[in-house]
Amino acid sequence: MKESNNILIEKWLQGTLTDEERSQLQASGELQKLERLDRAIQAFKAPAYDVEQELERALAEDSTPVVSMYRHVWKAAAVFVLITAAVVLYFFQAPQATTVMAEAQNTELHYLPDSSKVWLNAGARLTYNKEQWNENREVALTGEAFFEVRKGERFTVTSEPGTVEVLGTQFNVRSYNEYYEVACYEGSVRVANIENKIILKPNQLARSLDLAPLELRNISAMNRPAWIAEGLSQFERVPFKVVVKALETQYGITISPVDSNEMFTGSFPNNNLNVALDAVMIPVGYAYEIAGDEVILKRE
Amino acid sequence: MEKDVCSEKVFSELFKNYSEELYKFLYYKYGAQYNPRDLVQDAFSKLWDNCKKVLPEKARGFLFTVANNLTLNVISRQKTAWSYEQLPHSGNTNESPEYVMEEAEYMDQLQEALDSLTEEQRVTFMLNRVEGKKHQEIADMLGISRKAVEKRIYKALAILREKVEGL
Repeated sequence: MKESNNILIEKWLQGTLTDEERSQLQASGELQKLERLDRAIQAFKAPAYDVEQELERALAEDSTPVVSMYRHVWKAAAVFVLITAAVVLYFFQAPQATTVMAEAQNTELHYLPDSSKVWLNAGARLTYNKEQWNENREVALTGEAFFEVRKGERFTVTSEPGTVEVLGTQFNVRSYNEYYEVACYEGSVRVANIENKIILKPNQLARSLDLAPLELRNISAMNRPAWIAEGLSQFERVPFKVVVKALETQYGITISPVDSNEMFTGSFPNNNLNVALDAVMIPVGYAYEIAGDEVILKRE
Repeated sequence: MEKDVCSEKVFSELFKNYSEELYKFLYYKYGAQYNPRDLVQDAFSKLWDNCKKVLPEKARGFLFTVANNLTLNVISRQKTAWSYEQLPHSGNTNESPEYVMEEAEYMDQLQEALDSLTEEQRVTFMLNRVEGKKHQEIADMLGISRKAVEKRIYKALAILREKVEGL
């Protein structure tokens, strides 16, 4: 009864109830409750919006558009960065280590030997030892990645600012130098840094800045992090400089000078640099210029 | 189409196309207390400041992202419960005092229930049930799948009912 009502309620929401189903829902008293709620909810309708009047207001407040004058392309700088990255990468690989990377503006789905899945966000790097995988499920991560781990022996993700240990579960790790954040989506995970350890349940998140003790927060229930589900990088009260680091990693650019100690809440898209920069810089009060791979900030 | 937003004509066109949609999005997502009308103005003023950099076809995405982040940054400084603009009420009714009391209580509970929804659930639910937007329209507006829209609406309804009916 309850079960069939749920289907009827879905149909009611979609407006596809047949007459017969309608009377069935009515007989159980559900229809009346639904209709009452639907009537009552109308009281919360947004007040009318006068487009013409608001447009007049917008035009009255207008200012002269800012003329941007930049776009020197520093190709040499780009090449230098690439070569440095390649050299660094080469020397950091342990023998027989498998390394997977996601390039700027790309995400990468990678299957580990036991078919556990890892989604790497742009600029993330994952290293592990294929030969010893059965004895030792351990990966090293820099940047951001989401893990869907097969049930089995202990699985460990080490990053410079902390480690995560799990048996089988889903979780997201963000490690940008001084910022470390682990969010649990399924099962439970144990997060540790040099200060303390925290056990996370689904929809909980542990984070730490500058190796401070990990703190626990609740997050809204989701199946996947926003960067996978919606192609967005999301932040909730995260230091501005960390958001800048995330932008740099996402787009393979450098941003300077950063002199803000503000906390940032918001998101930026992972596929459009201009919109992303606007989304982050405008609320904080920065103007910017893009010169090749460099973004120069100016206080507005 | 013109190549940037720096003409008054293009700007006005964009304003007519998107400002109301943006206003409703902000209103249902964050509430009347954050002055969605002013936030729309701010977002368009940022668009004007950056008109050289934004192509008209990217303007909608720009406006939504900027408005959303402007709001979030206000909120992170002063978080309050979701509220709505109360419409003037005629004091003159034929209903019994008990009925009026019961209705008032129901509405109070409903507002609390709306506040308890996630922003995503609320904006999706209200756009559908109050603004009469189709699932596909909402999906396009929020950049999510139609299935996700339907799930959110269903979930929101279940939460609202649980809170107001005590199921």
